[in-house]
Amino acid sequence: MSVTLLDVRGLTIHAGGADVVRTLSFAVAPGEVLALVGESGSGKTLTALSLLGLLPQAARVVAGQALFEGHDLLRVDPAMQSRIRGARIGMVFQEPMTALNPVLTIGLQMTEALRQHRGLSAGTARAEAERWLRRVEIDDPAARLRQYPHQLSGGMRQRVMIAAAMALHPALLVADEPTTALDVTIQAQVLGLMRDLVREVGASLLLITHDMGVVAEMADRVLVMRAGEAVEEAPVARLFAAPRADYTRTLLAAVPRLDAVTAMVPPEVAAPLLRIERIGKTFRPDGLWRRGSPVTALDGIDLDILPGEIVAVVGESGSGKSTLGRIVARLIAPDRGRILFRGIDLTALSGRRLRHARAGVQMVFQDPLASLDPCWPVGRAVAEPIVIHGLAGRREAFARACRLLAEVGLPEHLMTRLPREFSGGQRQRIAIARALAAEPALLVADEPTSALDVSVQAQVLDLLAALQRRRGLSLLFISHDIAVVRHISHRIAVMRAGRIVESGPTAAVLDGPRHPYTRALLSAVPVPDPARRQRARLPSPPLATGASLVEVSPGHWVREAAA
Amino acid sequence: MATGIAGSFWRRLRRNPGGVFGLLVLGLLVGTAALADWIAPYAPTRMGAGHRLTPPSLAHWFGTDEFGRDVLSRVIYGSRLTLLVGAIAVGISLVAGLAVGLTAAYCGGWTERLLMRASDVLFSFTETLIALACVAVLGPSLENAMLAVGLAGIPFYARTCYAAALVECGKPYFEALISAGAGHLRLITLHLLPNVLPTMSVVATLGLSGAVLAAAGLSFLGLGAQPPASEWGAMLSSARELINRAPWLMLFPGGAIALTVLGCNLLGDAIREAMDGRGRT
Repeated sequence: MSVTLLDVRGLTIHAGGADVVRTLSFAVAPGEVLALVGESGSGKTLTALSLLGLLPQAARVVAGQALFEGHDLLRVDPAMQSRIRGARIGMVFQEPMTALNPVLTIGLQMTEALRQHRGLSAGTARAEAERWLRRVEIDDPAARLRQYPHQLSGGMRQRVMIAAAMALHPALLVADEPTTALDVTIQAQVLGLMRDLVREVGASLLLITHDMGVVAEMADRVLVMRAGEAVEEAPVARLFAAPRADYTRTLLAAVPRLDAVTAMVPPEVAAPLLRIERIGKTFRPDGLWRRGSPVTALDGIDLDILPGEIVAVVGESGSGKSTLGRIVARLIAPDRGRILFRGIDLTALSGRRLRHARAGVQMVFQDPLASLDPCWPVGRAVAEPIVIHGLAGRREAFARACRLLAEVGLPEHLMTRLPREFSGGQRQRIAIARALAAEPALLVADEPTSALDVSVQAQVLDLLAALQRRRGLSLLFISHDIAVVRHISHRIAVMRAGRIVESGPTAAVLDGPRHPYTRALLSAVPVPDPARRQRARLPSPPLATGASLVEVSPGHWVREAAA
Repeated sequence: MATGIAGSFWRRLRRNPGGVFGLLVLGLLVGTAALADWIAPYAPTRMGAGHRLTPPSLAHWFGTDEFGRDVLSRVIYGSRLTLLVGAIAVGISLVAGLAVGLTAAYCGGWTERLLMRASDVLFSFTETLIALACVAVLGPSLENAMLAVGLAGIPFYARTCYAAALVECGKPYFEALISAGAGHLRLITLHLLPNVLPTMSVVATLGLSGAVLAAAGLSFLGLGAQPPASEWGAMLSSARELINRAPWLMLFPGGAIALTVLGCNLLGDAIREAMDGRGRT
C-alpha cells in the first residue's frame, strides 16, 4: 500500500522522568484496521492520545511527527486541532459513561457536533443523528435522542459513541479499548458493528486493545508494543500463524482459548464440602421512603462443591454471580435457603461462632490494590488472619506469613513493603497468600484475574491451580470469561438473571452446550484466530422463567427452555 | 521507593511554598507561646508599663493601650491562649467527630441514620450560633468558649470522617478482613482509623484556623476570654472604641489573628496536596 492516511515517525513521549513511548513509527492506510496491542504500561493509549492532542499534563511529546492529511498532528495549533479532532479523526473510548456528558441529552450531544463540524441545520442534524442511531441498531432512535446517557445500558452507550463519531464522516476512527467494559455477548455485537461501519464508510480504524481475541476479530495489521517500543508489526494472519518476536509468542500463548484441551482430573466423589441449598437474595431499596422496586439477585440456587473440586460460576454482569460468592463467604446474608459448610449451616450462625466458622471460607477479589489495606506492610497483612484466629503467636505468625508469601512466589525481603509498591499481579499473589493464611478449605475467587494483563493472568491462574493441587483446596471460581475457566475448573455453572441455566462437568458443558444462553455465550467469545473471524454468532435468548433443571447426561443439568 | 509514606509526604510538603510558610507561622506561634516569659519585654497585665496610648516606638514596638500596658507583650502572651483554644477546640471536634463518623460508617443501619441525621440537624445552624448558645448556657469564660467552639465543629468533622470511612468500608480489603474473622475493635482501630486519619489531619489543620477565628470572635463579643486576659479577640474588642485615636491597638492583634489563620490554611492545603500524591509511587 503506497498511500498512507496517517504516518507516524519516531514518536517519543516523555512522562514522569522517563520515555514512555520511544521512537515509535507506524502507518495507517485508507480503509485499513491497525491494532495497537500491548499490556498495561506499553504506551499504547498515550500514543493514541498524543495523536488527538489529548495527552495528560504530565506527559509531552519530545520528538517525532504524525502526518495526517497534510498536517503534523503533534504540532498543529489548537484551532486546527479542534477542527481535525471529531471531524476528521473520530474517537471512541473505553468507558462510554465518562465520554458522554451526563447532564445533556444524547440528541443534543450528537447534533451539536454535527452542526459544528458539518454545518448542518438543527433539523437536518437531528435527522442525521437519528439515521446513525438506526445504523448502529438502536431501536426507536427518535426517543433515544431525548434520553440522557444514564438511561442507556453500557452497550447502548458505546453504540451511541460509535454513531456520534461515525456521523461526522471521519477518515480515521481511534478506538481505545472500545469493548473492554462490556459483557462478552455485547462486545461481540459492538465489534461486529464497528467492523461493518468502518468498511462501509471506508474509514480507517486505529484500534487499541490488550485482547488478542479482539485483534483477531478486527485487525488487518497488528503492531505489538511493549514498554513504549514496537516489538513486532505484521499482517494479522501472519502474526497469529508465525509470530517472530518472543514477546508476541508469550502474549499469544497466554491468551485463554476455548478450544484448549482441559486436563483436569475430577476429584473423587465424596460428601460435598459446601452445599448451597435453594439460596435466594432480593435487594430491597434502602432509605427512609423505600422507593423503587426490589431487585432479585439470586433465585433458588443449588450447588455442591466437593473437597478438592474447582467449580466455576460463569455469567455476565447482573447475573448474580458475585452476590452468590459473597453469600458463600457470608459477607451478606441470604433471604432464603441454607449454606452447609462441612455440614454446619453458616446462615444460622452469628457472632463469635460465625467468625470462627467462616475462617474455612476465604475470598480473593478482583481489584488487587483495593484488596489490601494501604497502610499495612504486606507481611503484617498476611500474618493478620493467623493472629486473629490464634493459630500461632505473633512471631510464629510472621514466619508463617513469610512461608505463604514464598509459596505464592514473593521473596521474603519484600515483607515490609506497602501494597502500593507492588505490581498488580504481585498484589493479587499477596491477596491469595492472605486468604490462605486462615487455612481455609474453600477459596471463593471473584474475578481474580480480570484486572490483570493476560501474561500475568495466566501466571495467577497457574498459581491457583497449583495451590489447589498442593493443598487439596476447593475453589469457587467466579468469572465473566468462559475461556478463562476452561483451564482451571472441574465443573462449570452458567448463571443468568439469578439462576443457574446450565451446570455440569466443564468439558461436557463447553463441548456440548445445551442451553441457548450457554451457546450464545460461547459463540460470543472472541477467538484468537483471524481465520475464524466471520463465524456466525448466536443471539442471546430471551429470559426464560419458571422451568426446572433436567439432567441430560451424568452430572450435566440444563434448565429447560420455556418453549 | 523504599522510603515510607512519611518520607515522600515530607518531601512533597517541603516543595510547596505555601506549606513552608504555614509551617513557619505555626512554628513562630508555638515558639512565642513557649518562650513568652523570656521574650516578652513586660508582663502582659502590668499597667503603666509606659504612658497611656503611645504609638509604636522603640520602647514599645507595638505601642501601649489605654492602661499603659505593652501591646507587644500582650500579643506574645496572647499566642498562648490562641494555641490553647485552637488545640483544645480542634481536639474536641476531632475526637468526637471521629467517634461519631466511624461508628456511623461501620455500624450502618439505624445507628448510622440516627447519628448522621442528628449531625445534619446541627449542621443546619451556623457554628457561631451553636457556640453562642453554648456560651449563653454555660456562661462566658475562655474555657466555655473553647468547649463551645469544639462542640460546634463536631458535625463537620463527623460528616467528613463518615464519608472517608464509608469509602474504606466498601473496599474489598475490608470484606476480606471480615471474612478472615476480624472483630469490630480490630477493624475500627487498626484498619479504619489509620485510613481516615490522613483526611482528618487535613480537616483538623484547616479547622484550626476556624477555631481560632471563632474563639476570637466569641471573645470579641465578650463571651470568651474576660479582661484582663490578653486574648487577641478580647484585645480587639476593647480597642474598638479607640480605633480613631489608637489604630495600632487593633492592627497588631488583628494582624496576629490573620497571620495565624493564613498560616493554618496554607499548611492545611499543602498537607492535602501532599496527601493526594500518597497513592503514587
